Amino acid sequence: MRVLVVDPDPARAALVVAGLDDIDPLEVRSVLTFEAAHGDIPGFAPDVIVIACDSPDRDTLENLRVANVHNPRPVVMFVDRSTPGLAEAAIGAGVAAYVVDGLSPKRVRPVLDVAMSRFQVMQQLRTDLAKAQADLAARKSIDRAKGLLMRERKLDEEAAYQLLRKLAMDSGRPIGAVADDLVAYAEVLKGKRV
Amino acid sequence: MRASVVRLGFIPLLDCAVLAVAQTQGFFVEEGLGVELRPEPSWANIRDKLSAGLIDGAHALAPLVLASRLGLGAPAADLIAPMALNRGGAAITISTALTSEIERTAGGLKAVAAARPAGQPVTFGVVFPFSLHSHLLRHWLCSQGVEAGHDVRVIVAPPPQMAARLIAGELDGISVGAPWNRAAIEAGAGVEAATAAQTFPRAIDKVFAVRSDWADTNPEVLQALLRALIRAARWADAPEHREDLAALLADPAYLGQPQALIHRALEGDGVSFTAAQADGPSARWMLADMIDARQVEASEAASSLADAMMRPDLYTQARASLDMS
Repeated sequence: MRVLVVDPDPARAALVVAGLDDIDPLEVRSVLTFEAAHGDIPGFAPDVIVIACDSPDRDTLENLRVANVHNPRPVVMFVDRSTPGLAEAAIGAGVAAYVVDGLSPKRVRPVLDVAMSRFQVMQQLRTDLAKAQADLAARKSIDRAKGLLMRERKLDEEAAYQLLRKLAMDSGRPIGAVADDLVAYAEVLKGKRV
Repeated sequence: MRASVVRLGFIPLLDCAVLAVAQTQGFFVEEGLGVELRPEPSWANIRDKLSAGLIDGAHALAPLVLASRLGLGAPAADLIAPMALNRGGAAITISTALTSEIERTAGGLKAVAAARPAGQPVTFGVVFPFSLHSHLLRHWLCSQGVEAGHDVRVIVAPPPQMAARLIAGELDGISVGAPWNRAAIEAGAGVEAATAAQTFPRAIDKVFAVRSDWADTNPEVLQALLRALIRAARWADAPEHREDLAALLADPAYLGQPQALIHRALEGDGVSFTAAQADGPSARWMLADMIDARQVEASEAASSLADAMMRPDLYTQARASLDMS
């Protein structure tokens, strides 16, 4: 079974391709755009195309249902009717799969499962990374605001932190945002801004 | 009314204007609605997210809604279209190279197509197999004595790529919505061959689509959405708002194209946002075209599914409550 992975995100595609390694026998290729498949890997006629829903090429693929001289085998969107909610779960995970007509759902299902799980892993990684970056940025702001309070109000570090925490709780805002504001106001007062 | 956020999807095109106006000019908010308006990269995504319940409503090609009802291309989904979002805007542009080839050749496009070497057929781009654009292209090709898929190749490409691919010479002709024909023509790459506004002046282009079961469980939310969209369409069609409309559509959140180009498209591309808002019979006409294009076979069941697609009753109710207020 030949599988083509179309994903504008190369890191995510690599994750899917690696995951498909365990399924045998299988030949996997990945491309950034469906159009590229014609140029980069001519002669590779996939049985299954796994495509990221954020790829703009989905509509191009849809049209291949209409078999033509360039693609004599009609392609259909993969829907395993024996599993209710599967199509919804796949779209929710950001994956769609197209298969050549007549291919057994039993053979396609493991491919889709791998793609879905890898997309979810990638999504989780991205979410975690964004959160880590935000946490790091907030930590830097808090450190600067603490330094400012220690200098201007002659507080020790613990007292400066407690003051920031109180400001945050009183205003109902995250401590990082309060710290940002404090630093920004201080810069305005010192004439460094505006 | 439910306070939860309503999730709507759209494709960046001139005719997403009614949704964009309702969001940015406060018509949704005035109806007490919190709306999350998100762009989607493809019509297939619009269809699938709507069918799967990942979005509640969407800007959609009218024939795509019918195709979903018929189960063409994807599992059948009971989508309905309570109102149309626009008429006009779709057009065919053929490359300047193909235009001069046709002018030079006795026998027109058919002879030009026949003379092309194998493997390099005359190629047209269309936005989706189920669309007014596809219908317009088949109709125009037929008027040239040419059959789509036989004499010439027809491929599907996303609207934003169309003008670029015509300019690059990868496509010989395109059938696409505003403002992409104008973008190609103004770049000197093509000539207008036909417009939906002239060929099918009554045809609806995009509709506002929702799932039938969602409409049944959220009747008040749907009525509020329709009232906001009707008001937004009136705003969008008012000539005094044209400059503001061009400016808001030019924003990267919507089209991300030059404001001047959008303004000229609004002025000259025959788009109306208020016409044909509840045009019930259109679905039968779309079905007839799909049957003609051999996308589906004629049947009683298909006719009934077409008849229940547009929901002028829901539209009329919203319109009446607006007129009373």
